[in-house]
Amino acid sequence: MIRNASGSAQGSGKLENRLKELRMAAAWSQGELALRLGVSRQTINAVETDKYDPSLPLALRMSKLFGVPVDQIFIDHWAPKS
Amino acid sequence: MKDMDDMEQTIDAARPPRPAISKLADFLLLLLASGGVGYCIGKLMAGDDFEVGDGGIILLSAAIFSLLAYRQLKAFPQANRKQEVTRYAVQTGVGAIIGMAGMSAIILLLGDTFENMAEQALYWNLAAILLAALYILVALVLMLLSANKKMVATKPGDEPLSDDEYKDTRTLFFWAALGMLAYGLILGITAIYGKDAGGPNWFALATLCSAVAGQWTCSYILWRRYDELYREVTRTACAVSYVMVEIMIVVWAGLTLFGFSVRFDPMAVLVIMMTISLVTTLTVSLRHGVR
Repeated sequence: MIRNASGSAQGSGKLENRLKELRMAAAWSQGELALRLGVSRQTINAVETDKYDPSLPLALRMSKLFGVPVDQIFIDHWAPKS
Repeated sequence: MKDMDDMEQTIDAARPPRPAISKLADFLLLLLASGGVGYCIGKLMAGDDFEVGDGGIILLSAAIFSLLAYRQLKAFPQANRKQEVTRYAVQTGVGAIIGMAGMSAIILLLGDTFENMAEQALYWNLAAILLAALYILVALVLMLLSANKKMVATKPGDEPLSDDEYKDTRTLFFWAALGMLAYGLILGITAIYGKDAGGPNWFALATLCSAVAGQWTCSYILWRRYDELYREVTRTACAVSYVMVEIMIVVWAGLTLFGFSVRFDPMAVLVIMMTISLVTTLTVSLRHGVR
């Protein structure tokens, strides 16, 4: 099994995400993004630092806000077995 | 397959070596956990009755073993894992012997004192008062934090804290502190008034019910007011606490039914449940980045 740098197995752990990258590109602070999404800044920080995977409604809101499909914000390394 | 092994070894090689202090801490924890197991084995071999405190020792030992096994898998390089597992097994054996000998010596020296305390259920009252003090201390710290703008601002990414965020965080800390205070009162009241209950104590019951209602109100307000991260932390902490209490009750029921005559008074239940709740909530919060 391939393990990433943090030791968790790929495809079975938390998702990776590009939230920080997208937020920086939009030149928003965590506080501003939290306000736009209607959540706390702690939630944004927890998502960016991979400590929390957001709910589906919040992920969809992020997708709409940045105009990027959900699977380009959150990356899952899982692939079906052939 | 070979490529994967090479890749794992490359990733392992990139990990920084573990500092000596971390290895020493692991060794001491392992000694503590295997000592607990050794003590319980010794007690079984001597044919002594099992008590709730012994169940606590087993749970604590199991928790330490799980933590160490997790760290082992995460931290040790793949190439040396077999060596490390052997070392871990040897340390466990040595710890069990040391634990058995140490606990036997303590029982030999202080056995009567422990027995007297157990008969009067004093140590559970003492544990309840200590835990209540801990809850009240945490509540006071949260209250102090909520009054200080600099300390409230955790500033991820060095962002300044807006007035709205400051107000919001202060309110969160305030309600969390009130909830903790209520938990402290619940434990304190039961420990102080529960010891010498000669008959129904309506004042103590009314105070306890008010504290429980207050705690529920704080939890409800926090649940309604804060977002999905807080709710996720609450849900996870509740689920983990429930499973741990369930395991404890199953073990207690099994021991009692199989003739081990486990002493289990209401104060013990309260202290163990509240300890599980506190530790679980803190752990889950930290793991989710809630500080």
